[in-house]
Amino acid sequence: MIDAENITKLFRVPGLNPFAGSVETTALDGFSFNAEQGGLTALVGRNGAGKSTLLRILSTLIVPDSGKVNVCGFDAMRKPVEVRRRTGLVTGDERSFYWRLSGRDNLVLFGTLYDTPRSKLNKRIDRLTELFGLGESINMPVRTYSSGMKQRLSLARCLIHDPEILLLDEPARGLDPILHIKQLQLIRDIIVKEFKRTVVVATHNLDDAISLGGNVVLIDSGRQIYSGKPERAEELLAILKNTSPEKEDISGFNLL
Amino acid sequence: MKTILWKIYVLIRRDFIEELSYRMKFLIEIVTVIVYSSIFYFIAKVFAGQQVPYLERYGGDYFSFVLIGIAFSGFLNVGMSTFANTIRNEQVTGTLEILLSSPTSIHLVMTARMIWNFIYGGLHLIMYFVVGVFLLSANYPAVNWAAIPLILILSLAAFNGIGMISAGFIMIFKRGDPINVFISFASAFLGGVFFPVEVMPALLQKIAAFIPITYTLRLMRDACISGASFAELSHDFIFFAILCVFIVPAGILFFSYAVNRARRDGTITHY
Repeated sequence: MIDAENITKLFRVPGLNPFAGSVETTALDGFSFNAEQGGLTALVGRNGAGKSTLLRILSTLIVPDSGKVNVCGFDAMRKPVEVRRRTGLVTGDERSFYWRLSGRDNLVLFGTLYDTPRSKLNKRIDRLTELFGLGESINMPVRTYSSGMKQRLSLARCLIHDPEILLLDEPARGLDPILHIKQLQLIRDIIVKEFKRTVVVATHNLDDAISLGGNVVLIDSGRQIYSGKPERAEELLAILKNTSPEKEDISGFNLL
Repeated sequence: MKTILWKIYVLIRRDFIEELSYRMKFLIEIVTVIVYSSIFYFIAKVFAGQQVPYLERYGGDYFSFVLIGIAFSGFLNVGMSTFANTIRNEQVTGTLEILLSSPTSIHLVMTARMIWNFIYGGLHLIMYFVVGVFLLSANYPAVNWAAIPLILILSLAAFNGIGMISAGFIMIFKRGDPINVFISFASAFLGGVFFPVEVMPALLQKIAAFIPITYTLRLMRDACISGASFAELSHDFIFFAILCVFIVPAGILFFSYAVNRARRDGTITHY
């Protein structure tokens, strides 16, 4: 379903001093990854480990410097449109809507741009509204939504064109503890188990990664350092500490 | 084809709802049109009754002359700056990522924006002429109505072509768009917005020949004030069309390059 081989991505970031040139940062360093159909993979790593870059490469937003990316049988570099038709992206950015439009108008707009057949659009919006508990708020402007509602609307938007693969970047970011758990349940129980979609979730929360119940891939400095199904967050933390002991600051992780 | 039209409709509907939700902005724009037109109406009164040789071609009335200039420079600004502003807003609000990760071409999204520009810019034009003609007695005695749609289409193509180059700069540099600044300045100074191009030295007139608004304004003034026929307008029409043949593909190509470069650099989300 997803087959990424030896991906490298280097960013050149201009420094604050305009005469000092740019600083090179390696986001992904020969990273390989694959995800089976109907499975859930949690990408875990520190802030800046390369998780979001990987999701953006899989969704064709960023072109890798080298390596091969195959999504649903299509080369992401050569057939980006085919890949986009089959993937849905949640960026974790709750602003990524037109706030002056209602939730429904946003879903109509994005659904149309994602080639959802017009005949199915309204039915699908009604179904997703019910599924994500958006109720009557779907007809209200997005600017009136709470953070939790925007995150649920993001998931609804991601599913509007019925994609085979969902790429979720911090889908529970900024939610209160109850909504946080509910959001993860939605992903695990509805999207993966009921809809049988292939899901890749990027998170820096080790407990979230484990509670989602899928494969966990640990990334550090753009490299895969672990892949498996750990039972406890401490196992992952120990691996990370052993891999890069020089990075003593582990504040990027949330064990709660 | 049906799908493309549906997509364009949905995108224009978005722009319409967004614009409608900012009621105060619309009100301020109406006031701006009235105040701006009135300023030039009173400036024109200073010269009223005097023979100004440069205005002879345009019937001698400065207000009727300048109203076309200010109305169309507004149209130019809408066409030119909206693309760049749109890209900038979509970058800041995070919607650009979602748009670019959809199978719909960014060029279709921009085409819808171009059509919206035409509707919105057209509304501005109408406001200027309603205020100018009905409230401030601008005079257009012999209008060649058939020429106007063609002038508008060529102007729209040229302005939006420049707008796409401008948006490309925003895509790459995020802020600081030299095209918008340069063209706005050059249009106001050299394009004949406030005074006839013929007033300027020969060298500046030659430079003005490469600025789209020069043709828009001259054609529009000749068509609206002198009632010039297609044969009389043909020279400017041909040169304007040639200019568009360069500007429009340049806009599309540069914008495509900018999007691809942002994808390569990984800076689509940056602003």
